[in-house]
Amino acid sequence: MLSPVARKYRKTAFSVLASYFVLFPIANYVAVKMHPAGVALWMLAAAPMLPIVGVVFLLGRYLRQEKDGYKRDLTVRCLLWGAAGAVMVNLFSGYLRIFGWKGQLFPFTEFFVFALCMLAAKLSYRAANRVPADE
Amino acid sequence: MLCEWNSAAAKRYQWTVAIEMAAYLLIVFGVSSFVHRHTPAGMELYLLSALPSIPIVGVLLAVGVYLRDEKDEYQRDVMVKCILWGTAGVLVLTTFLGFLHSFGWAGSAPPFLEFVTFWLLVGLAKLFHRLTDRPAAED
Repeated sequence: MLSPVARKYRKTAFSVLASYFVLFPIANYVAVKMHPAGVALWMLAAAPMLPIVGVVFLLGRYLRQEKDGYKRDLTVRCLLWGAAGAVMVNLFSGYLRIFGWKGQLFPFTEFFVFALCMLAAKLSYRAANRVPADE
Repeated sequence: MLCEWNSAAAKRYQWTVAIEMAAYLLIVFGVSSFVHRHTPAGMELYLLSALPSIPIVGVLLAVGVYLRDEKDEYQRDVMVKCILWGTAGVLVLTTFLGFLHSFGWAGSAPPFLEFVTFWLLVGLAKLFHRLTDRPAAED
């Protein structure tokens, strides 16, 4: 059962993420058509990032406003697992490059690892804290 | 208060991190000298690159254990907030770099950029809390 704060967070986060699906195709189209470089490229790359910043901000607000300590704690734990995963991948790829690896990770690898670790943590907590049907 | 990191959990955390960082330095020097002498490739290179990550996994585990064991809710809350600031920074940075690459940037960010950013933001957030939560002298 979602708390009112969680419902509000989910609703707002979905609308903010929807703007990503507008901003990304536009930025991608401009990048493909105009091949910008330098500052223009950096600014173009920052445009689709804005919804992600928005969701991070909303998550922070949710954590501040959530009254249910257990739910807040669970969200924080999942976020920490995600952060640990992302940092580990970055560290591993950093050492690979320092030790002579010429390749490069796919774009957004750390981001996907973060989301995957967070989801795995959420599912494992959900499975571990399952209450029997008669309770 | 945050600057009085003297709970049992905090002391255990500090010791564990100090030992793990010492192990990290030893491993990094050992692996680096081995790599420069033998120039490994393929699976061997992957395994060697994973070695210095082990103490860092230990540090992250120590943070988790500290958060579980810390009795002082305020200190735990401050630690969590600082880590969340670091996480937000890593997410924003990795997304930005991802879009740069997708849109044709041929360069590459320095190794460990996200890792350094994470701990830098954690440190800055901690410093900010320490400065803003300073009690008045007569308290």
